[in-house]
Amino acid sequence: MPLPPADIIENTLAVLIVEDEFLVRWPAAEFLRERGYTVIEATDSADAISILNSGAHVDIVFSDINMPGELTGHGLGEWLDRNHPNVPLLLTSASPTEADKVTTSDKRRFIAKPYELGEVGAQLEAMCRVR
Amino acid sequence: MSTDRDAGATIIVIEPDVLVRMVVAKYLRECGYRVIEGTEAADVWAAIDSGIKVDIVFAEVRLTGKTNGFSLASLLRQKHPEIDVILTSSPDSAAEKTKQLCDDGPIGKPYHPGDVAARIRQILARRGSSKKT
Repeated sequence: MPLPPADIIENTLAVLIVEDEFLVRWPAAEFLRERGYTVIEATDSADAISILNSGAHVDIVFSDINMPGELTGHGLGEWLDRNHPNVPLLLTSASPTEADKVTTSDKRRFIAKPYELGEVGAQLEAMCRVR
Repeated sequence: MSTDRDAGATIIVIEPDVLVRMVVAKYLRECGYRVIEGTEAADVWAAIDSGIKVDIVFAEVRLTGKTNGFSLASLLRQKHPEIDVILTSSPDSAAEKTKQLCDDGPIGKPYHPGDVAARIRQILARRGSSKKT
């Protein structure tokens, strides 16, 4: 089946952003909403899990790795593997060593901070296309 | 639910409970408002310092961090009287103090997001009529 055009994908994606820093999360959320995404904002992995357990529709998760709370972004990835294996995860961190800890696949990618918001959007769209 | 008249107003929702925040923020966006989501008082100052023109802050009384909702409302009145504040909280004991800090009293929890939207419309309408006179 042919893939839908990019603009249709852009306008239907529900993205869960997990980021504890307000001044990082807010611009990313605004940028994605302006592009037509539905964006849900969480500040740590526990919040993200609450949202996913609530039944809210989430197509893809964009998460920081280093966050307060028990689970890092890596831990959130493991939880997704067990509970929502079809939901892709784009991880981010300012720490260069974190990139090496991410086993990339169709459903798992890494983008380094500071990131270009346009690049985040492109990565999210690409990951959802191959789902 | 949607009101063209109010579209474009910027509302900051400060609510630590993600499931409560998600629902009310989504509802207010569907009403046409620009909604900024935060979890603590510091997020309000960060948004204001970023140059955003904020119309209304809708905040939970019980917040993490150094400043609770009461202090946030009080500080906003002093420093940014042009920003209206709506407080929300569960315990009735907080109601009287909340009433002192927002003109129309608190919105008790649990609330329907429509109650929040109605209060926002009320505030914006009052502002509109005061500008005309």
